[in-house]
Amino acid sequence: MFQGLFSFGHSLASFLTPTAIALVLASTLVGVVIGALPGLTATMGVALMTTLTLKLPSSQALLVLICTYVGAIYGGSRSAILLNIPGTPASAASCLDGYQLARQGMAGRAMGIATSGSVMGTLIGMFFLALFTPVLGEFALKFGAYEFFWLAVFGVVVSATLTGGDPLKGWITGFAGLFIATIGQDGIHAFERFNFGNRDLAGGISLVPALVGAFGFAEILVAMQERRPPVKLSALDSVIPKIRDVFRYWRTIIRSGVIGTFIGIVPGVGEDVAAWSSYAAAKRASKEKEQFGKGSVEGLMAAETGDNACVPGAIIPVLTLQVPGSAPAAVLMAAMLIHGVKPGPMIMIESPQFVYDIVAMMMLATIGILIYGLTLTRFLVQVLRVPTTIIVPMILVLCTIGTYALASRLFDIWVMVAFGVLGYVLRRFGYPMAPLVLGIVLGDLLEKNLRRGLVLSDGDLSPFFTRPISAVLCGVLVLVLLMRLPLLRRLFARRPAQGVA
Amino acid sequence: MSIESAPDTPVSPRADFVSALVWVAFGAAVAIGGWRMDRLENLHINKYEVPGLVPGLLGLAVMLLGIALALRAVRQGALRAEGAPAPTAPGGRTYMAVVLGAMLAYALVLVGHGIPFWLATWLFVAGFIFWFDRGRQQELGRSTGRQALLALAYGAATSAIVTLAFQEIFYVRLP
Repeated sequence: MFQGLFSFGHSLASFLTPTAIALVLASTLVGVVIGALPGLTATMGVALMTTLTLKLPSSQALLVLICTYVGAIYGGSRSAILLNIPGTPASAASCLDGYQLARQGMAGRAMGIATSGSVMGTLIGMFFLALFTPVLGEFALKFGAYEFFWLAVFGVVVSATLTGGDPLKGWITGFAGLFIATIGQDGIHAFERFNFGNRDLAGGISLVPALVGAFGFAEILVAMQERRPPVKLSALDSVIPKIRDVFRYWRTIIRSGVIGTFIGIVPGVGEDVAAWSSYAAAKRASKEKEQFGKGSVEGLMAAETGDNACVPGAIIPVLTLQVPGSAPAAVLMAAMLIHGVKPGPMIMIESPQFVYDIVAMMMLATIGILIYGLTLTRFLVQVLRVPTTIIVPMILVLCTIGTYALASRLFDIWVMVAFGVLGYVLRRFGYPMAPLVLGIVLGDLLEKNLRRGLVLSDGDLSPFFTRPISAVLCGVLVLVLLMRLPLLRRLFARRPAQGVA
Repeated sequence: MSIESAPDTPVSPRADFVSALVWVAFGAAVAIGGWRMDRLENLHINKYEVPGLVPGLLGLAVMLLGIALALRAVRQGALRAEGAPAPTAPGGRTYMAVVLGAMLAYALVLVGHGIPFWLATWLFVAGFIFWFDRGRQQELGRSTGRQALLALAYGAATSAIVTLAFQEIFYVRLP
């Protein structure tokens, strides 16, 4: 315990340099602005910043990315409260009560609640990040080829099932993502697959250009399609968070923080699910249920605490299992690999201090959002007035040159464009992108471990089902799939589902 | 996973059916590609290490899921008249085609094909803003000349900042 605190203090002290502080302030601001602007998501922000931080030392680059991530999830609440448009999907639940509070002339108070909820959520998530990562890391050492194979399948299937939308379409994109990861030389014999003689493609599809395409290029196409009308904003009251709001709803904050963190840990299930689950749990437990959706302080607090607690939660499986808990965490993981940091079960043995570095980065990001939450309201209001038609070409320029900067080759731009167009078309047909991305990230893990497992058992499939951890993962997976069958769903449904809104 | 905004319009069973057929064809192609792939027998590798194994299985999975989606779409009326997609707003497709065309022109044609990056970026940003921000500018009562001037200014600022940042700070050899 004290060793952990000491390590955390050591990490925090190492970041207290003028350069690091300047990076924290700048990247959190970028994150908040990206999060606040409807159409620009946290994933896009982290992916773009990955391309901009290639030349920085790894610790500073990751500091920038984590601050951007935390800032973007927090920034989404601004447009949710002021415009009733979630800046990021994670803030959709905040629209319900945040916008109602704004309509009642309490926009400033709502933003104060969002700030305190976000700060508390990140702190709770940070606590669990520091607490669980070493434990889970130690547990992950028991994982072999069979368990990692199931983990990869589990991530894709659960992501498609739990993120809303159509699970069947999610599974299709998930498996397509796993296939995309196999394009290029295979990891064992370097045999070129599905590259059709193209030398660039033989190197495989790089994750970052694909992500920038799917979440940058595709999202700006969607933003252009929506053609938002000009923004009209009303006057603001004080944005200083009220301490009594925190004390009054402490149970809601802790509950939402715990829910958010644990949803973050589940592979591929991110901040939006965390926010909605926290909101639903708060509504169930509240004494003021009738206020929810009409400007409930408790509802807004729950949603904001939940989505921000999810951020550290989503990083826990990245560090311990090399499996991302959310889409921005997938980009973060790719950035770690680019910068030579290898997360996974060995992290607590090879570089235990790194885990506390991440916790310290979270702490600095939390301070960043607190500062901007108190000071930047009027600036952000001005940012929200900037029309999409002016932002879009600038973002496209950054997507293009940022992707090119990764390896100075035009092929990466083509990959970015291809995934952008593919992402846009898939979205038009109602296919979720999250499982596709998770598939691309986990494809290598799945392939290597399936082949390794089969070689070890000489083709015997039984270890995939009989080893204890494998059996549990496989059992949960089967349960998740069976629960999607209409017959079983009808059997277990006690009453018609009630919407959280 | 918080990565994209929610789908804006419901998808018709007909559209699901068409996309399912595409997935079935794609999955089948991948599965066949995996099956026909070199098994490196001349290297005497373990039969479970053949390079086509995993892609083949994944192709098969995509194909089966595609069939399931197609069957569901048919059950929902994809082949009946009511399963057809709702008509799109007039001009919507043309507008998006122009947007996509402009974006593709910049990323695939202007960048990296002889025109200096700063000029390509300036032209693209100015042209994009001038064309697509016209409606808003007209509502603000700005003349065409002023709109063009503003667009050129936005383009110049973006081009200068991005070029300088990537060239001088990140040391990237711009395309």
